Amino acid sequence: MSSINKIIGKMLGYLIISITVILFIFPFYWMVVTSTQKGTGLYSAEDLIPREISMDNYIELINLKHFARWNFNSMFISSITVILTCLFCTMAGYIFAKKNIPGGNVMFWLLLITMTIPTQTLLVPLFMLMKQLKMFNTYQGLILPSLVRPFGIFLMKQVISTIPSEFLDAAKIDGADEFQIFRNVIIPLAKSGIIVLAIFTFISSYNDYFWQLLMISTEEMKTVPLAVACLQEDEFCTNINFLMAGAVMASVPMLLVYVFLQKYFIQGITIGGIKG
Amino acid sequence: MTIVSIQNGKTLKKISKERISYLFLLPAFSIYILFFIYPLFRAFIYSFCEYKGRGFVYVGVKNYLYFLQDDVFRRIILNTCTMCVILVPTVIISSILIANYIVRKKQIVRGTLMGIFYFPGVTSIVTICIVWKWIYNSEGILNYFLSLLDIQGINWLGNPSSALLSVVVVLIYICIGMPIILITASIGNIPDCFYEVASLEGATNLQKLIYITLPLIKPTILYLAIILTITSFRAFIFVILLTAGGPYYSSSVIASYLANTAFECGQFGKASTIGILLLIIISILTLIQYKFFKGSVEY
Repeated sequence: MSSINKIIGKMLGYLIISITVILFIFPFYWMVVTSTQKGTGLYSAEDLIPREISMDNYIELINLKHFARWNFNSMFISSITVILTCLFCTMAGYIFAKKNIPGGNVMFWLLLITMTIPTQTLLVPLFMLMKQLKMFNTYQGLILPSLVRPFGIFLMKQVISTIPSEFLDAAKIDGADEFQIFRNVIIPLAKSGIIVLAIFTFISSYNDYFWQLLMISTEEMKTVPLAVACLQEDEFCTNINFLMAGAVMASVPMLLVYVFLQKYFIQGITIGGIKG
Repeated sequence: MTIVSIQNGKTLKKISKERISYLFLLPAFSIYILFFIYPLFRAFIYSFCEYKGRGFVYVGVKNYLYFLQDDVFRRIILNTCTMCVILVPTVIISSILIANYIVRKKQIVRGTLMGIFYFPGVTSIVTICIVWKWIYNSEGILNYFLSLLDIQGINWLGNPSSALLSVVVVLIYICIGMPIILITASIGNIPDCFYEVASLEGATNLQKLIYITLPLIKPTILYLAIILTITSFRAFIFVILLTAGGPYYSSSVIASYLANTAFECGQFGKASTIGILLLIIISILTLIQYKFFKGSVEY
């Protein structure tokens, strides 16, 4: 009796988890299917599995005048943001973790306290500041504000604290100066933390849609997500298939990062999360 | 006097000895001060001002009084709280159930499932919102499935009674991955012997979940509850991309209302006031979090 119950329970578990997984994958599946169809109208159950696949929408998208430029903009902004954020946060994290300098504690506490401040609060004053600095529609206007990451400094401090101080002392005895220690000891040993920070910075920089919307005013400066969101304004009723091709394109970089670095994603959550 | 000056001298000496350390802090902190502390300060000042054509004019606490009495703002607070009240329990309960199920699976199955559940949260927000807009469309796939069941579909995002709920569903879809991974990790940390003893005593799976798992992962659940509450108060881009807060403010939440006030109506002063109010709410939530998590858990 109990074994039958067990089997039923197991089947039920499989069923529920399969349905949940299908619900999670379906929007992506539906996006890809819609993007490979011609014309509009995909409403019947037979169309859930497409009979013919056409790449026309993608070709049309790639042939858009500024498509290459949009991709370049996205990649350029995200990679500069990632590189500078990781460098600055690791440098600051190193000092907070390993040096006992006057005023250090005060600075660290200031970072901790301001860490949870919602970015929306800063939206208006940052916008005004950018206006004053004449940074509208420039790369620096898009990059500079997103370099502020108190959480990144906090994360790097936690990671670097776990490096034994003996390593640093040994390097010092061998005659290394601070910059050499930083480059040859700290960076290699904090590598996994830096990768975690890089991934999360990349995602949030790529997804900083609203700031891009505020800053960018010309076609040439648009990023891929912004361009796709703008296509939506014009195309939503007329050519949904083309729009879906745009949506697929906008998520390709994230998909690549996700597939190749998945291990670090999970590590990142547990570093940042379980500590509380 | 002499002691103070000696100490000052020592501090100065230390500062000059550690000047490379300050050099290391310089880039991060100059950006932090210019693009974070200074705007924060300005936000506070703007919240007491009104924006008129060329600049800000001081108006005292007028903006704050305005929001205390404004019906639209009351509605938006209510919307935000509704969002939070639906989001937090749904996400926590379903992620406990999912985590409890996948934690005993093989590493590869567990990893794949966690990957699937986490992906919506790390992909492009614009993509997610466009796809869901298409699903919710009055001629979209959701209404097609409903029509198979003989249910009359509606325009999900264009209807004041369903817009907020539709947005919440997308938000749940986006943010459920992190709780699943965290809860799976913390259930995985519970020693097996607890469950073995329970099995010997004849406990069912449900009893194990209620009497062993839940009490032991309580700190993680509390942590998630606070984080998810903060998430729902900061929810922003989804709302703007899906409904722009409409129709008739029915899906507007605090952060999206801030953006509308500032960049559609040009009322930068009032928008800063909303920003400060949002800051106060989130700070209170964070303080509660600190109070709960002073001590860490040990098994």
